[in-house]
Amino acid sequence: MRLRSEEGVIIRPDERFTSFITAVGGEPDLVISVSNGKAATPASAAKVFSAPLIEETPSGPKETGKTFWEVASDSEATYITAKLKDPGRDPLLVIPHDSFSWQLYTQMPGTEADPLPYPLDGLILYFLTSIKGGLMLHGSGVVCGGRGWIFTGKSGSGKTTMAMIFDRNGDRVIHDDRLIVKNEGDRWVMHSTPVYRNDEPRSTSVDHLWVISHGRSNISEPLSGAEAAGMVISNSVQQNWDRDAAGRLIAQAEALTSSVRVSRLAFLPDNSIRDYLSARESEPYVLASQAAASLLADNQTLIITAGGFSMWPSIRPGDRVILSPCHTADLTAGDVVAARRDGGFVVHRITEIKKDSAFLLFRIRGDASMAYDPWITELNLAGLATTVRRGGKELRIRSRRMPYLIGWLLASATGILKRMIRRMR
Amino acid sequence: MISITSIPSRSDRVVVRRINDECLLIPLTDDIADMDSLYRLNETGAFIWELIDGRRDIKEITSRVAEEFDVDQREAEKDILLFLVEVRDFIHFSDR
Repeated sequence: MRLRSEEGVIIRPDERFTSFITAVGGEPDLVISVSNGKAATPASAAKVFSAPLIEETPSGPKETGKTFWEVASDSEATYITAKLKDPGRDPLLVIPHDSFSWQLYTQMPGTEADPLPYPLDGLILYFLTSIKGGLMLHGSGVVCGGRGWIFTGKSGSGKTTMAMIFDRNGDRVIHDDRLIVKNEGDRWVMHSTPVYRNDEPRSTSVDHLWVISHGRSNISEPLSGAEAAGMVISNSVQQNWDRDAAGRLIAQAEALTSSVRVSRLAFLPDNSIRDYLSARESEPYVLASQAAASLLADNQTLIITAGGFSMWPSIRPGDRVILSPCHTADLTAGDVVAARRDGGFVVHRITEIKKDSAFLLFRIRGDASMAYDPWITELNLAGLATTVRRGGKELRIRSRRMPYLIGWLLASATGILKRMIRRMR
Repeated sequence: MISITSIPSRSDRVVVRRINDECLLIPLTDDIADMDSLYRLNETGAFIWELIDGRRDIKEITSRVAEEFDVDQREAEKDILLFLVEVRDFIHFSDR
């Protein structure tokens, strides 16, 4: 984007854009002519949208009944006016239809002009992103182990928390609040946006998009098709009054979710989520899991190593667990099964079985987990855990109903013990 | 001792799975597949594995590999011997 001074004004953008200014030549996607001249939306233009001014009060956001910014349109152009209280002025952005040469009338006194006054800066960036075939997402983005992950979700879902967890571990954070996501050749790339004072341009490829929420354990579930695209749309910045932009958003969300994996993710706000995602996303892990599922489907018994505490004390980390092919009709509550989840396996105990019109449905849970897993169908079940090998011994896994609370307390105790041991070293 | 006229064949102590263009060798112990010690073959490895059929000798396999990957015979032979050593638990050799 190139800003061009008109009528000799000195262009002085806000500090948060400083690192985004480049002196590189070449053809810009967009040219904005900036002047301090007076201009107003033509009387003939019809008002299409009006954003209410919402004030932050100690008791929460409150509508003031006043207009923050509004949009009008006629056969020539779209006109966006912001109503700025302080200083009292109404900058006007004129976007001629099908043109990448826009005009901004800052209405500022004197010879200096702020070419990107809030909230027009966000709107300019949004339109440019939308027209150029990208999405603006409410989300944080990080690079961990060479993979780019986006965490998106509603306000309060933990986007910033997630960025902080990865930041503390020395991973690169692209942004913790708002990202531009664009298709570039054969990959999707996330870019940081100027929001805060010290923001700078950062980008990386997107490998997985996680729709996050706070949970009582780390648990993920892949999303596909309309559900995945819907999640992307609902977490994107949108201007619903602009029907062209809305259409482009749907198309972009569909394109994004057809080439980038999308999953729902409930998480605990500590380092365990980073470990969870790193293990799930490693290529050998995913390959081995797929191979395991394919072998079980072909009636081949196999052995895996348990990684977590969720089935403690029946299955402990490092135990080798034998998984046998199973007929889902023979399973009963109390059996320990391997279920496919998000590219991997989880070995948990069946607590309840029911039948809907087409499938057997299973509810499973780790003996030491605080919460149930989501209901799964028989199609997600890969095998039956029959035996544990631990220290040279073979232990049969008993089918039983576990006193879950006791299981959980035991697991918490070992967690505390582990932490104490670590501290002593 | 193996020589270039030795004929490798696949052992029944291994299962093979193709996942997303990757070829995985998974060892079997007492008919249980051990998911912790699987081998991942690269493109050349997978090509050589496919050629091991209990009929072709190492010399024939070498010619096929040299042709397919456009390398000279001696280089191909060295790579094939290294590969066969790597996967020796999963093959046995016989002579014509």
